Amino acid sequence: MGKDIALLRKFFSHELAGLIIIGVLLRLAMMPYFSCTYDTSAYCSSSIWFLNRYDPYSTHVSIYPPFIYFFNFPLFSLAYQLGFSPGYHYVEEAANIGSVSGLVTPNQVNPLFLVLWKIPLLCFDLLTGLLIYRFAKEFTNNPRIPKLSFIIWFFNPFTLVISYFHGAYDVIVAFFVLLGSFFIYSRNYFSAGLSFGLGTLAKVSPIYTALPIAMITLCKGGFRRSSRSDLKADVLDFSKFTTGLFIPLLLFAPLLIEYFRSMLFWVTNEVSIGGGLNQWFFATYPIGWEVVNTNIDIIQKVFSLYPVISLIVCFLLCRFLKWDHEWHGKNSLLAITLFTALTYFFASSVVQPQYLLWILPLLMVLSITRRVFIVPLFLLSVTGLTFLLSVQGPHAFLYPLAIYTPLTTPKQIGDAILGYMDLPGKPPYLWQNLCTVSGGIGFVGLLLTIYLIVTSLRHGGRS
Amino acid sequence: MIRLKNVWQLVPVAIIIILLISEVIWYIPPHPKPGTLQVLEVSPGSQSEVTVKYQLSATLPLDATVVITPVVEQPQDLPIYVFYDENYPGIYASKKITLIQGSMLWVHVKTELYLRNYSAEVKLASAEELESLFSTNSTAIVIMASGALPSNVFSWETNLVKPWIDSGGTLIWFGWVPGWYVVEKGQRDEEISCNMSQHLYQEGPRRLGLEGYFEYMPLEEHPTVAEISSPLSNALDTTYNLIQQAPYLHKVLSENGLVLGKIGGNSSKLRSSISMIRVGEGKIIIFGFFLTSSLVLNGPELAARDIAQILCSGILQVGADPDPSYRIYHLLEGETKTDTVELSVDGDVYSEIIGLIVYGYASRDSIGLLFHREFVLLKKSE
Repeated sequence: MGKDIALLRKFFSHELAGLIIIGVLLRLAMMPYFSCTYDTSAYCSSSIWFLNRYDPYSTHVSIYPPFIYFFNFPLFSLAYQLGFSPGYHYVEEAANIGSVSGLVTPNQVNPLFLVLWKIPLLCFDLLTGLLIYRFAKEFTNNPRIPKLSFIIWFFNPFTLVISYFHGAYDVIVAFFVLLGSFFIYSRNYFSAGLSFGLGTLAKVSPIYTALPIAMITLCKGGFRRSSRSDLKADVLDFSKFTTGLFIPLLLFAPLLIEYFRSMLFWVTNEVSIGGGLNQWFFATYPIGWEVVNTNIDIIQKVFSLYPVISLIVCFLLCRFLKWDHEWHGKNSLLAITLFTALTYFFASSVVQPQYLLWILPLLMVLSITRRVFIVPLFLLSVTGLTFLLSVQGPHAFLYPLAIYTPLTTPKQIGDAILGYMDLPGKPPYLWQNLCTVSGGIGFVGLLLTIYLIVTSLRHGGRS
Repeated sequence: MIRLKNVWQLVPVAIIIILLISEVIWYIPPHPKPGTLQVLEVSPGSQSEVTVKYQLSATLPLDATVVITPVVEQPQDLPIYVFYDENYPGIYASKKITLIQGSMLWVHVKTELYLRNYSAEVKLASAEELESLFSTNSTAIVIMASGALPSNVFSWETNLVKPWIDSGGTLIWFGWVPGWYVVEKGQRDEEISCNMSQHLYQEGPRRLGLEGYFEYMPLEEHPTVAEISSPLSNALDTTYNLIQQAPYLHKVLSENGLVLGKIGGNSSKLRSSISMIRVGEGKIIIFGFFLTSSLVLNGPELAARDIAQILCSGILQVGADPDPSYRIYHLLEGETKTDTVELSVDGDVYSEIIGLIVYGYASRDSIGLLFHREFVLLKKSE
């Protein structure tokens, strides 16, 4: 008892205690009544199949890897055993709006589902903030910086909107990428591999960063190694990293194989670009959309060059940079951020604004040592936010509020969405213009990120 | 510093342990755990009544419907072919979008039917494969979601579709009026328009035996939707609601067809979003317009569910006067319910009935799932 009180006293006297309490309360308030109905209904439907012990891939109800289902499984099972019913309801008004907008689904999740779904997001969100704080402590002697870094992450409107308005679980990916970077920085290659492996179990994208990093781990001694023991050490580091990387993937192999089989089907049938904050930002504009979609075969061939491009970049990084004790940590962080940024350009034909969350913690950490990284961090946060809120208008996130509170009605929300998407006499539509402008600025933000990483690598630690 | 580093090291390990425990629990038992429906007793009465006793059990909270349909023929699981041919364009959306929708519909129909123990295969079929299927008059179900017939099976010169349906085939159709538009092999998106001599227009539905069912409705901004439920759409919980190009309700009913979807449109010209029209020995099931994008209403997932509901419920095997009985249940986790239903069938129809289909399904927003269909032979007393 006395020990518990001492622990509590220690927590409350910590400089982050107040911020954590305010941040958590804010998140709890946002959890139940906001959601992107299109995505959360898909999460809910696939979770239901999973709870009924159906493989969500052979039944074609999920396009997400199994991490989120296994992680949430105990929480949801417990909820049903306690008599709660997280789930969804078929809402007629939303159904009819969906026929017009194409993005509103009739299955509207209930507040209980939203709270249970978002509790793990809160955990990973908080862990990410704490890890950024931990990084800042490592990088600077200025006592204000760690706390400030935590605040910038924990109260960033974009991260709040993605996790608690939209309900996307990309913060889990962001956390594992950052955790992997932390372990690479600390030269703990096995744990780094585990983190990237877990990230890949959540969404496939971290593998695009992890494999080049594995290559760098192997070749970081450069091509002029002084002794066999250096080579041996590099091979050992590489083995630790890849072992860690593949352990989570092997442990969940049965379902993961089903996932990849199902993805093969969907990817081969994916020919349309929905737009997003990648190089195809202009695809939201009708002319751009037309150009991209008629040339999709060529574009997909360019995407397939990513392994070659990342190999060349790995070679250049190993050849021209120092990877000794002094430079290893900083160069590793820059390399991880570089490959994460490149992922947006090469790895997928459809990039959603919520994916930007993967790179934000890395930019946050880099900005602790080089302030200029604040600029892309700011650009990506602002444009990600405006893009997300522009797609159907901010009203589209309010369906749970309309269905489960007397504050507004689904019909009013539907009318607001239609009014926003279809402004009579003002073509092209408002949402297309807003998406194109914010997408364009976001694109510049990603280019700037790559430019700043390259200049940072040029300025420090060349061999 | 070292202690803190160790704390972070525990994070991935702890997460892997949580996932592993979860994985072990998930795989035990090794099979899915949907709810169950068990028919306990079926007793034909002395007159034209049938009593059915059954038991429902839920593993998770379950909202379920049990439909009992008296049928005049034993249902067969016929092979299903979904039209998919890269050599033919669409007539509403681009070829690529049309092909995506065809393949999405195929994969979801296959899944929905597999879950309902449908034993026949569900395959994609090219125009050439359809030609050989139609030429041999093989009994099967063909789904066409592209909105136009390929010219090798239906054109000014050829009509393989009508004889095939006449001999017992079932065509499930999405899009414009069946037979109105025809597309030719190798045509590109930019080469096809609605004003071309290859199209049969009103002659098309006439040659398919559908004269008088349709009025061509040009699309203005958004397709017309239906909002009034029909008795069968309630029983089967069908959701498709576009009636842009749907057949007239009065015509469907007057020709012994079935109204399987929702009803809407001008009060003097009511239409149904899903209709079954009898043509010869076969049937055409018409959805009132095209598929929309994924996950929303009228998208491939819900339309596939509608198709599975229609094919598995036995509703296509009913006689002239379809009157399935259905009841809705709400079961808590682990709950079991036993119920008895008394069906009263019209005297003339009763003599034709050979059995019942007992069909149980979970509602669209149920947490627990249920897939049950069973044909019960009726042993009537002489």
